[in-house]
Amino acid sequence: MKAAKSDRYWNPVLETLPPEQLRELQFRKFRRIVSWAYERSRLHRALYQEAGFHPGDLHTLEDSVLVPKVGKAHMRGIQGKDPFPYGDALCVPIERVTEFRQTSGTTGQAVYQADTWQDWEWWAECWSYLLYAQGYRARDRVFLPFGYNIFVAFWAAHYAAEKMGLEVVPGGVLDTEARVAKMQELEVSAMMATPTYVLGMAECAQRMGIDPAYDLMVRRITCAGEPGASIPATKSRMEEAWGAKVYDHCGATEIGAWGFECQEQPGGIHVNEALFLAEVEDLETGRPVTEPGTKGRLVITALDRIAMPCVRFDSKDVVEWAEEPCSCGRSFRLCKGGVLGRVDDITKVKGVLLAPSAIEEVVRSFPELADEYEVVVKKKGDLDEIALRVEPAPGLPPERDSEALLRKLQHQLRLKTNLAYRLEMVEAGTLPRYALKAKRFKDLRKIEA
Amino acid sequence: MPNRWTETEAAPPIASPYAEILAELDRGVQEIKQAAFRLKAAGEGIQAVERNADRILASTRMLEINVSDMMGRPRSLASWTEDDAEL
Repeated sequence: MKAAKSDRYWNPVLETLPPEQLRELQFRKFRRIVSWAYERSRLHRALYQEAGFHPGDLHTLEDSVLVPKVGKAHMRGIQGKDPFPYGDALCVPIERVTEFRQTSGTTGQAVYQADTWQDWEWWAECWSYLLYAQGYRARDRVFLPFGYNIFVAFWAAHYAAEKMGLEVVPGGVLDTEARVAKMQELEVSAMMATPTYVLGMAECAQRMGIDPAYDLMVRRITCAGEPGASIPATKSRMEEAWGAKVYDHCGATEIGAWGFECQEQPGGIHVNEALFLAEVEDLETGRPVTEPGTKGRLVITALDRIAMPCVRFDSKDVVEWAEEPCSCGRSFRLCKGGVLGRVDDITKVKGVLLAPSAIEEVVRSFPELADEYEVVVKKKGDLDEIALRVEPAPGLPPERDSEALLRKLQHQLRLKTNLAYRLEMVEAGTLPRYALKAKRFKDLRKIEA
Repeated sequence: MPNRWTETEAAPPIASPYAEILAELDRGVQEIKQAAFRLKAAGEGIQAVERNADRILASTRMLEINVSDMMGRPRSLASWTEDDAEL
């Protein structure tokens, strides 16, 4: 009997595969990519031998924990050596490499990434799963307002959109005003950008006398690069500003496009478990987390990427499995709330664990406040001090009672984060604006030390 | 070593409600793949043939990921060769 197909899925065969069969497929593919890395990457082989691990030790998917993890530091350590500039993790002849990309370098030295054309096809495949799940179809005209440079950003989205038959408008070197004007002229139906830039473009459009929700035709936005599209208050701001549905997506240069929010907007992102194996480790103990309710560190394997394999890569993303499956029918598991933060970002202030995304959620839940804010943590004597600077929302009368507003903000912040802040309302437009990834959280304690 | 990166032994197909259509799709995928390899060999190094055949093979690999891997069929990891040992 042939199963009924559905136009909800890019590939119903894999997206609705029952969990037991999905785990079997993952295990076969995991064993294969681990063996490939062991045989062909000097970096991986050395790590595995040092740990006493051999691919033949893999008998079940649970054995994945035997495989040593790889992190950014490993990749930085081999960089610049032969085969230049990728070093010991390159698994294919260098003449098969067709793509160079590098990480943004926000956490240190940029990491170089090689891909073959096969890998690039795979990148586009990952994005096809997610764009289709978010409702993109061949009738869409999609605008990509990004720099088309050495960062992977939305490059693969461009190729995926082409593969899916969409009409792609590359908004490369245009400035923001020119991008807004082009989007209006061409009546584009969708776009992709970081949450920071989505909000920044809306602000720019308003300055041009254009209301994106009414004067533009954008009805679907995909975000990447920052967690904002999974932060309810930020998502609402974007959706209201643009009159569009906003969807989240998660990925990284070294990993691939591993997660996506579907049209159901279930308050989380699906891991594409046909193409990736996601493992979550307890933040304190490092033990595997398989049940909902515990936040952990995402360790991830790209099951089909070959030039520089991503095998048990320590993403440093903090995630938590959701309790319920998604009503979309996919068997791919959900990470509740998307990426909740970075292991490096979660810090103790006055002895309290703080995730910067919690501050964003509170600030952006206040319609009286603008999108931008800045958090600075520093030492005052022996004590930590946390300061938050905010701006009034554009167009609000200046005589509004900012003292009362800040008191309300303080109350909400305390409820959400258990911390008291030194608050300051600054003049509209004075805080820094960002085009790509924003740096709104500054911890000066390490610098001061 | 029991698990080599170029797998030589077939595994049983993974159970799926799409089993019937998968078998049919997989046959088509393998035909494209074999045709592309034949084309590449017949091109005797003509770049316009070899490079375009490689692109077909890379795209065919996406079909294998979406379809044929469910059938448990052994395959190389690099789409441009039938045996990774030749890399």
